[in-house]
Amino acid sequence: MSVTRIATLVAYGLALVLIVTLEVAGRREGSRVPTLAQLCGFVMRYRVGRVPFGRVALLGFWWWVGFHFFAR
Amino acid sequence: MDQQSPAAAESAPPRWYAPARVVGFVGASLAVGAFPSFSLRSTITMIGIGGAFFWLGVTRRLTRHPAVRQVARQALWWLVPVLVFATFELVSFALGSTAAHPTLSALADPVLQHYWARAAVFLGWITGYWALVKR
Repeated sequence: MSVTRIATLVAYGLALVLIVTLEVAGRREGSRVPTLAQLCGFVMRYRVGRVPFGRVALLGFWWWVGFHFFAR
Repeated sequence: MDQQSPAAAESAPPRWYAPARVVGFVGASLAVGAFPSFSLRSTITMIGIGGAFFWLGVTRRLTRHPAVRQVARQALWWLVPVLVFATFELVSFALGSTAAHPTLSALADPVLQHYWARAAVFLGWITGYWALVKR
């Protein structure tokens, strides 16, 4: 296994660990770190004029993730 | 923090709704897990289910959670894992997604060849999508 492959795997794992850490931190009493759900809710409120841009972008991204991993 | 208003409580779904949804999602996952990648069935399923959820989410027909009007500056910490992941993913993609520089999809492909892993990942995806639709 090459060094770059190991580094990439470590990076992906680190990102996952950071996500879990932030989620746990966000669920603590009085935490100022939003949970992922709260952050998504905030992003989904973003509008450009009358277009719910944040909503479309986040839902579209998740749709693309499913398409990319299951149907590509 | 996510407490329902009286009006929202009055429009709350019936008690059988959540168990029925779980059964539906698990059933769909067990079925979709059998669809091979790159197949017409997979494509049609993702277009159908994904499109339906996208429409439900954009039209806010199932919104249940109160709006999050602002977040603290500490929300910026979420950029750290996003940037770490995006950097390595984009670099690996630019380098051709090889064994030495694998993208996440390249790593996931061997896992998603197995039925139970595929069904479990699909269940996670559809559950996450539903959570977004209700935001």
